[in-house]
Amino acid sequence: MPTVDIAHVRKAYGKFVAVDDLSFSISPGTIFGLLGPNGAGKTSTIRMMIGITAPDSGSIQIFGQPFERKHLHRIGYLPEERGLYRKMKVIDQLVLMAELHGVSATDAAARSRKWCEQLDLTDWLQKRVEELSKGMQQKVQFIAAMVHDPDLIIMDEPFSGLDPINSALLKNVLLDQRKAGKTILFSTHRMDQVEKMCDSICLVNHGKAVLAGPLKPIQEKYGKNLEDIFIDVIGKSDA
Amino acid sequence: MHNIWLIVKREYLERVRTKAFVIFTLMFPLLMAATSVLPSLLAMKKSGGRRHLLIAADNAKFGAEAQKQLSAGGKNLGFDYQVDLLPAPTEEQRAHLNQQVDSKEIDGYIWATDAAIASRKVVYSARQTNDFVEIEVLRNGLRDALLRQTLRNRGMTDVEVTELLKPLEMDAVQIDKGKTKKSSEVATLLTTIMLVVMLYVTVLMYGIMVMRSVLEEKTSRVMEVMLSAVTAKELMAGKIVGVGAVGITQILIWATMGALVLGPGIALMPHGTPLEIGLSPTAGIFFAIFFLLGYLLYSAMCAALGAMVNSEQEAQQMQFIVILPLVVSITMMMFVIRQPNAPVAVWMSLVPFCTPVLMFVRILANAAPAWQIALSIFIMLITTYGLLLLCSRIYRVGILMYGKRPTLPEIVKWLKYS
Repeated sequence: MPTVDIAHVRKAYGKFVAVDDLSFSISPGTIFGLLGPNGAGKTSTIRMMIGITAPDSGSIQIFGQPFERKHLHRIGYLPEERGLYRKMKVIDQLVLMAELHGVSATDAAARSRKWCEQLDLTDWLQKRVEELSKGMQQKVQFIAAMVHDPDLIIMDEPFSGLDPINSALLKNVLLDQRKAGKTILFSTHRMDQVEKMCDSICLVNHGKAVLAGPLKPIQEKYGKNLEDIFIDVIGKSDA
Repeated sequence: MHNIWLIVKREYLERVRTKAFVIFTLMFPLLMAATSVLPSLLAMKKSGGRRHLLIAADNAKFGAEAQKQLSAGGKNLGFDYQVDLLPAPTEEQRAHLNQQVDSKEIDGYIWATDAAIASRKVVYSARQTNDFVEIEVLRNGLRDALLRQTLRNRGMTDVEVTELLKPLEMDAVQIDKGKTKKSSEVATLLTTIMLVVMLYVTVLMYGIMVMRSVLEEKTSRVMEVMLSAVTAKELMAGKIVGVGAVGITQILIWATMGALVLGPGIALMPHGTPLEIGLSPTAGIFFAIFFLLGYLLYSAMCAALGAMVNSEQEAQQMQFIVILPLVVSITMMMFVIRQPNAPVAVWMSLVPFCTPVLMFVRILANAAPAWQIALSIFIMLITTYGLLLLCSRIYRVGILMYGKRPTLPEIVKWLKYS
């Protein structure tokens, strides 16, 4: 049973079709890359997966069931547009996010501390978000998506704006998560950042899937690195 | 419900914990006191020491009477006059008087010759003539003097004149469901205006707070994270309730402060002074009801506006949409106080955006029958609920749209998105 199963999904905003007959599925315990240029419909797809918007047609199944709000407790989401309450203390912010995802108040505080320890943020727990550097805010945001120990982790452009050291730190955390059986979806237009991590991909352009499947056969068939495939396939589909 | 509670808690604590909240809560009553009490204190201030006036009158008896009335009338309102009589004045003397005023020998003079009185037009000349209170004191004093003098000339004794000129008092007694109560219309008016202004200020203040809060979530992009856990409806409900709770906290603190400071003062005042606050329990209850309903209605509007705009500047431009109905209510208020049962007053008080102010005024005036009160509350609840539904849709789509401000047709389109 796939963790995510999207079938023939369509979403239009007025005349603009953001997602058009898109289908893909993600197996449990794998890392999936939702790839495509800016404005391809990646974020629109993710928003439908977590119930911010609803598809016009098609079906979305999460954990083998049609989407329901209770599934959100098992999903962690790092949006591309990063945002935290600027005046809130780091610890309060993380506890709030955990509690909103169904974690009890006492558990929430303990888990937040543990995550901050792991990501070198312990000294900043009592600081307001606005006092943190941008890189540190990114890490707080990352923890906010992970603090409730989700089974499905959705990351929209997870490594943008991070230095190599912090990128590596977060990559390792995510690889550990896969080892622990979690399912991870990356959405990005930066192929190089996810190439070595993805088990399978779906390449979208203008809301349609142009290339999908496990990464290995794709690389065998096209014999190039992912970025060249990207330019190649997108170029063709635009032509 | 749990999610709403978490958001209420966040909105409340994050506001109440700030220094700004503490400082504003403590300073606001002082500011209010300063802006309302200071000007009237200044206006009441005695006008700088003894003033030397001359009254130029042909008729010595009238002149003497005017002297008496001016000094007495001045004393009542805090003026200290020394009034001297200039008998049988001539035009040459008038030029001299002008010089005396100029050289500050005297502060002013009143030209009340027989000719001037016959033409019902006397002249007060002084270096400064813009104190309207003083002009009124002088006018009344002269009028009194003239009246007394005339009555005496018609053969009345001093005692008779004084008896005749005694002021007439009229009590206003309000009859309400068979019970009569003596009311001071000044007190009622003051109480009404005070409560209505409080309603207006608080509803607006906390409504705008909700708008800024929505805008802040939008500009800091935290919205999308929040929406991955809660619905737009929950987020909005939590925000409105949380900010409302902050408002109630603030009002309770102010009420307590007011009671502590003003309470003893009011108790010491002689009965029947205009400052006596005629606040009945009914008025208190309806104030609470209309504050809550008004706040819900207006904050729902504010939340939607906050979701539609992208910056503080844009938000300020849009604020008139929220302020306009409140201003209309305030403009109508005086009319409704005077004629609370005029058809216009009845209809306007049933318009939900005006109900909090106008129906409240009519209730204070004892003019609104129960069914109208119930109807107005019902209409407000329905409207608020409708607005909340509508707004949560605008909110949900609006928060995800950055960039330009949406046009009206676009907003209508948003309402159809699911």
